[in-house]
Amino acid sequence: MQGGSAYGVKYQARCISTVAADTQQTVFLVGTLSLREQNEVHLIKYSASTGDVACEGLYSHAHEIWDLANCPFDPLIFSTVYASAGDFGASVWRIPEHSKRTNQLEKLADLSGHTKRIKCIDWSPNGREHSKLLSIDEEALYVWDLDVNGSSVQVDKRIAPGVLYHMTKGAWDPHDLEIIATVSDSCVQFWDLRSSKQAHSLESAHAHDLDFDPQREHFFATAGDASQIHIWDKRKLGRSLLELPGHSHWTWRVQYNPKCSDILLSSGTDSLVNLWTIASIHEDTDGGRSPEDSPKAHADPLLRSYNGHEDSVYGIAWSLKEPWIFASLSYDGRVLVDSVPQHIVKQIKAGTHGG
Amino acid sequence: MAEDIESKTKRVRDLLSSFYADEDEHAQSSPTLTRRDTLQAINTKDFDADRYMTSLVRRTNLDGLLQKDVEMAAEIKNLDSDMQMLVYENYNKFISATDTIRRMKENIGGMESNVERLLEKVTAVRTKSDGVNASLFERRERIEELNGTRGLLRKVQFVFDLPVRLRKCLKAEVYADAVNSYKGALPILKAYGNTSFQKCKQESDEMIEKVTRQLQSRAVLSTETVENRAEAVRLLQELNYPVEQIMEEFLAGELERLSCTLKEILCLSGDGVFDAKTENHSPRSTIQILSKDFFTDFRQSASAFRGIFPTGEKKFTMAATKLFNDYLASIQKSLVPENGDPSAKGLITVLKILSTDVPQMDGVLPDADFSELALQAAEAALRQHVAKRFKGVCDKLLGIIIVANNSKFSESVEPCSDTEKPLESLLLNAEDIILQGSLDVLRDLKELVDDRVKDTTKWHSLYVELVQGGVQDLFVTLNTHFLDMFCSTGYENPKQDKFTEENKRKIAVSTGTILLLARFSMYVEKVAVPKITEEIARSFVGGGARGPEDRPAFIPTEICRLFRATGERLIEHYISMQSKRLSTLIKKSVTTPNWLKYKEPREVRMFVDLLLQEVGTMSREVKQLLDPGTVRTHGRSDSTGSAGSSRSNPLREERSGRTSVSQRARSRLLERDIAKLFKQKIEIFTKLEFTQTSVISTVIKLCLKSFQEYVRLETFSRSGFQQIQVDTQYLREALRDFVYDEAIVHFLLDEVCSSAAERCLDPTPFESAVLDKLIQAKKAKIAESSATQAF
Repeated sequence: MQGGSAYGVKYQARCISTVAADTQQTVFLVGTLSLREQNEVHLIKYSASTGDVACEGLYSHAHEIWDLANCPFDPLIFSTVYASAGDFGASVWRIPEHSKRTNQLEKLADLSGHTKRIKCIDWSPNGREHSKLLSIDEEALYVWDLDVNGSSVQVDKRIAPGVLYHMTKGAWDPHDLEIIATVSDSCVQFWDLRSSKQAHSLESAHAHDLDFDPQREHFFATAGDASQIHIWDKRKLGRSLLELPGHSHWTWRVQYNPKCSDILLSSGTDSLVNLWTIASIHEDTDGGRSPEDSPKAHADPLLRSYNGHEDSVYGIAWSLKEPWIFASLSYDGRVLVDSVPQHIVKQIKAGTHGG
Repeated sequence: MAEDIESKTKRVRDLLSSFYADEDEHAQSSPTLTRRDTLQAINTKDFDADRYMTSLVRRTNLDGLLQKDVEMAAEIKNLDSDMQMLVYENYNKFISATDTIRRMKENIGGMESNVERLLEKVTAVRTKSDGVNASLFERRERIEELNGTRGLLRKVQFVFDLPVRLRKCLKAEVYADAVNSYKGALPILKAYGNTSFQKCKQESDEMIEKVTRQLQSRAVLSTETVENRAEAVRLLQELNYPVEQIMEEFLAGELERLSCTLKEILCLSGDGVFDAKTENHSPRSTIQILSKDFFTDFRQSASAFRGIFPTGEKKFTMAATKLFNDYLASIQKSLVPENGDPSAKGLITVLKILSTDVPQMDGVLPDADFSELALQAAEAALRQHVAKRFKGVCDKLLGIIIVANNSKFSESVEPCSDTEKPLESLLLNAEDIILQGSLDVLRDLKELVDDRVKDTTKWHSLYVELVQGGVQDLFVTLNTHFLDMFCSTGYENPKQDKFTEENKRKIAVSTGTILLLARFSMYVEKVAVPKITEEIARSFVGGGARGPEDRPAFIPTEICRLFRATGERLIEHYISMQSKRLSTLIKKSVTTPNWLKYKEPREVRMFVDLLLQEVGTMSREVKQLLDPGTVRTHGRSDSTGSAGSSRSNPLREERSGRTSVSQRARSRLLERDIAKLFKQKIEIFTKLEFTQTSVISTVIKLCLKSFQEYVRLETFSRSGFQQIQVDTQYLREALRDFVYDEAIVHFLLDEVCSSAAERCLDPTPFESAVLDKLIQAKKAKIAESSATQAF
């Protein structure tokens, strides 16, 4: 399992997502970004036993896919954000049953109403049939009520921070579903959905991406074009808890391991995928660890650098089924499925058992 | 005859003694003898004559008997004569005893009459003496009474005479007598002063008042000899006059006088600024003279005081300590000119003064521990001096940095020509300061070590430690300051909480300054520290008497390491600042136009000019400060991986293994990969070096990579794509001037173009002729504008 497995998409691609609702297997969705060709959504499965990556389904998609997100409760439902030649939009799709042998996706709903180019969609982490969706365009964020069965969608809230903020990314806080974080050119903002007001903000953080710590409340990571990755505590926004060197050029994506908050995955435009450990900050904040462990904190936080890609890596996704498996997608359409090195996994397991 | 008598008397004595003494012996031994040999035992008591006779007769023949008879007859004769002699002796003795007794009797009879006569006489004497006693008894009491009265009268007479006597004494200035007389009369005056001797007391009090006044004036008068004054004080003390007051007055006077000297020293230090400029030696020597004066004065005062007030030692010590502290303080102050660097010479002078003169003071006042104080003062002065010197260097450097920062702003307002090199001169300046400044300081401090003042041997290790610590501190301070500046430009100010004070006066640090600091750090690491280490090794060795818990002395390796790290961070920071700036320009140029409705490109866009201008400024900065570095072109040997548009940092690459790519995926990618294989392989993210080439090309590489990334996020119409084509085409030539390695620029700009083509709905490129025309037009325009600027 040390070597990675590769899968090629015909066209350029930016987004890859884990099918979170599928608990049986490790499945990823990849959306292509081809201006002049018919775009595709690839459903690819990683087999842990053979280490192979295989295509499970290939579906056509009319437009370029700029963002793709999976429904957290139904493995067949996902959303895409698309734009092509001045046209833009966002839709929720259902993958057709395997038996139907069709490559046409079933459109469940259109998130219409955006006036600017839509940047991303994020599903509320604990939704059921009546799920909530967050969609972000450059100037406003929308919260939608989605009824999957009735295929209806309604705007629940619209918050417009202003023209000055070019928002690029948004995310639900997994620990407080009334809080949404948005990333814009110059700052990170936190919105309270109850009051529709800004709760906190992190000024002058030039970030591309933000990811909440799935295990520990208040913590999140940002990555930006200053290439460093920063770990923050929402309660202490004055200064970052940790700074990682990131990538040689921009750091495009950063994601916590879903099971272990000490492991962080990042991808950058220097075509690398880096695996980091941030155990040191949790040692500090927990305060429970003995000082003998502290030398570890000063060790190189970079656990491993995966250099299988040859172009900028815009998409990374951890598997939920196998928490040490992740997929990365480079602009030239290559998906690589890699795993956290075995000795690191052992270390982490020993650490959690010991602690 | 005489012998005969003698032997005779001897024999008699023997016999007598045997007669008296042997009786017992014979009594005891006789029974055994009788039995054994009766013949032999003729001398024993139990001698049986008959048995002896019979045994004799029986055993002995006639001849024997006859012989025995003869023998016996002789013995008997002997015994007879002996007995006769003994009797005679006894008689003699008896006679003499009787004579003695008789004589005694006669003597005693004569004494009795004498004794009786004596008794008579004694009795007569006694009776007479009794008579005398009885007759004298009545008068005696009276005489004693009269005697007492006489004494009293004498005393009274003395008291009455007191005023007169005092007056006399006053006139003759014999104050000691006056005081003695007064003191003698004092009990009476005290007892009866209010009654019988009122007038007398008043008068004498007045007189003694006068005496006191005289004494007082004499005690205070400094022209009087010390003995006179001391006597006056003693007398005053005897009169219970409060001497403390005089003492205090005296002390105050002395203090004032000495303080004047001190003030002069102080004045001198105030004027030292001017004096030091005009004539370098005078103030120091004056200090020396003044100190000498001060010490002599002080000694005089001390001995005078000792002489006059032998009891006021404690007070004097206190006053002297205070005075001495003042002195030390002013000396220390005199060492610190208000501006300019204090030089070691002054320090040496002062240390000499302190080490030679102060022990003399100790002789005067052993209690006050002056040498201890002086030691402390000297140590403080040393510390102060060393700290001051290093601070001076540090301040100068920080001043340079501030100047650099400010000049940068003015530079950005009016772009300077290539001939002006403010940063370079600043760098040289700074380098000079750190090296020459430190070396000067060290040399200056070295004088102190060379000029072995008496006590500096004791201080030597301390001093070396101080100096080494000073150097260490200097560098550590500089390093922290650099890092602070770095942090204050950091985009998130991650250390906001820690450096609030720093943030209050936070200044925007210019890129030039960062570069300057980076270069300077390098200089410190490469040149300054080794040289300074050498200098230290030459002059300041030893000083290892430090506890391990103390701050470490100068550790060049640590400093080098610190500065190398700082230099690297700073240069990285510089690159990230610059590339961010350029990237912002590019970002604006890419994100603002509506590429889908773009009109046919007519010229190279303005942003290119701005970009080139920025690159130009940066390159000027870099060229001023950094070494040119080697010009190298990318060959195959330089690239570490297989085909790739953007290779990774070679450092990081080492850590990870290649991932195996399955054959199936490869076949899909083959087409694209093959196309790339034929391009030259380019290393985008190479290791950074402290050279012009490396820094400039890293910045340009980073910003062109950003260009590509921004382009990838857009969608272009044909015209939009062509605009990008025009822009990049122009940049190709323009950037060539800045980057030594053209290939990389070409490669990256190709990447930008191809990215734009990929993101274009109708990627029809310009024909090269049209492209050339536009480029030439732009060039002509630039040439024209620069020509008009020149004239």
